[in-house]
Amino acid sequence: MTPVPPPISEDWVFYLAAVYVIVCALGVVVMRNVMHAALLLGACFFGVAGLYIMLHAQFLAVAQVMIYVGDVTVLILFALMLTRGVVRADLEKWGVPVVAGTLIAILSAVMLVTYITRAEQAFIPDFSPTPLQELTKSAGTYGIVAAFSQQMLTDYLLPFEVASGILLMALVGSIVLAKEEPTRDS
Amino acid sequence: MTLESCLVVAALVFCIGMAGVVIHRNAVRVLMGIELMLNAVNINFVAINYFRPEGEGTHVVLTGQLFAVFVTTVAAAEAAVGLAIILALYRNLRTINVDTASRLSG
Repeated sequence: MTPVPPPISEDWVFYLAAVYVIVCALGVVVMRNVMHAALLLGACFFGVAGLYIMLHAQFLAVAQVMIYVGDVTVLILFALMLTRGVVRADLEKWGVPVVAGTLIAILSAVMLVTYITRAEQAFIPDFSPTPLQELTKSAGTYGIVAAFSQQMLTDYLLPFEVASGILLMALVGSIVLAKEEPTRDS
Repeated sequence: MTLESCLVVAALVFCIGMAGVVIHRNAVRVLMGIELMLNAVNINFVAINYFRPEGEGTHVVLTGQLFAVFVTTVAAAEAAVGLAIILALYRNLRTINVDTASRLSG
């Protein structure tokens, strides 16, 4: 049996991805130019895919790049280009929404981080080697994608089918909504 | 890399997305904030599935990752429908400012 390369376990990769994600997310909110914000959103999604890789969610990382970077970001860029007349008028002045939003975000961040850091002591202690890591080691270079897809198509078959139905409905609905209306008078 | 650090990252991204939803008046930027929040939720799902897995032996139940996949599906559908609504709004009102579209508010 060929030796399996160990999974990436360096902490600094995780923290690099985390800082990258947070900086990009801040840029999405703070940037004045909407186009820059949309492109930073795509960069942020890439960073989240990196986090998924670190957390041994290989399928989800690839799906993240395909769906979020390739679909959602492109959709947002399309919407910005189709409504480009109003893009310039987006510069936010200091006002009630800006102050309120910043305050709400900072307060919730403080609250959530405090709860998380306090609650960690109450959690059950970490497994020394997590079963997921062990599974990844024994599954070879493909990670846990085999186990993942096996569970998706057996235990979670009904949600899977419902998700495809939702996607079909969203497809038809968005086409109907975005379609040019013929004429009002007829 | 601990569960705590993952949850803190997700919480920060969630709060940043929430700030974007509250601050901006441009409907597309509100949608960007919602996407950020959904991503934060997905990070939580995957992190908790990684650090606190269920199952026995080598059979691990990957519920968190599967939930994240379904959240991603619904987020993609939501982005498509939301942007179609924004386009319809722009065609009718020539603006995508969420404050201007107040015809339904009594």
